Amino acid sequence: MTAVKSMPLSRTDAVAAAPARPRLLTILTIATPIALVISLYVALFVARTEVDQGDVQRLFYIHLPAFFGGFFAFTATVVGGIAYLRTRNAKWDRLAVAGVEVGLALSLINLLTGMFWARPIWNTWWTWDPRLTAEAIMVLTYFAYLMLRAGIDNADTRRRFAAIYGVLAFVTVIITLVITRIRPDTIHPVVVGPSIQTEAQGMFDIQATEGVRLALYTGFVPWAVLIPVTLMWYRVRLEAMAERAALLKSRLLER
Amino acid sequence: MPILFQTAEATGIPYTADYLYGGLAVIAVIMLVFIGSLYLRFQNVRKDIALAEQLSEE
Repeated sequence: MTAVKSMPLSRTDAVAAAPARPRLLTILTIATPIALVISLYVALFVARTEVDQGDVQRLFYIHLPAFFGGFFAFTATVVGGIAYLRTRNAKWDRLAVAGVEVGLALSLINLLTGMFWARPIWNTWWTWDPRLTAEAIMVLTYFAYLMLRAGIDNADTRRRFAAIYGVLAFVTVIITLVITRIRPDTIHPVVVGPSIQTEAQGMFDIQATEGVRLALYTGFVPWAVLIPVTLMWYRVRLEAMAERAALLKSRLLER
Repeated sequence: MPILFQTAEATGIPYTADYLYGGLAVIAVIMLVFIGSLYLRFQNVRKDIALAEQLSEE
């Protein structure tokens, strides 16, 4: 062991331990930042400023797509969880954990951009509004998923428990999604689609300000599609490599 | 023309750009932390695999 320590691994050795990157992933890795820059340019410089809220309303072009990016990632967790329970194939567990990590990052972006918008518009960083509370519970629920995984040593038990938890946790996503349409007492605006709410604050007409639709659609491409897909793909590869490392270590210990 | 960076006095629109910058900064931090974490974990697991393979060959 001492001899090995005295010979540090070169960068070439470390790179050789990684599987080759698929061409599609390379394309996604290039396309994602390009789409992100284009969407930011449209959001900041093409869309006109909302007259009642000012520039902070531009956060909406990231806030809403990031939520749907998180929704997409958490849906992948459900798909991975159900598929794992049916097949017991570890690749589905990798998809599930990738979905939770990426979904959490995007949900945090959604939550925090909402807070920065709320401060000048609602005059508070946070209020226990039904939508905000539901989303906070959703984020905590998925943090608990990661804690659950970290707390179980046996790989099969961890995957089985995580799959069940990941499927059940999706209830919090559904509640967060529909709560502004079933609770009339929320002050969270519903900008797209019908709503029964009566006290929304910070509402704006999506058609009144020039460029809102364009900025929103341009924002959906990176935040709701490219970023979740690309990051989940990398996370799946990381999990596969971590499993390989764990297998090699266990074989060494058995010798 | 977009009126980003202009003052409330010039346009009559409330000046809330500072909160926009704050929100953008938070987004950048979250993405950088996540991508940085992925990168570091990749590096560590690559080293683990290379070391384990080296040990198993000896």
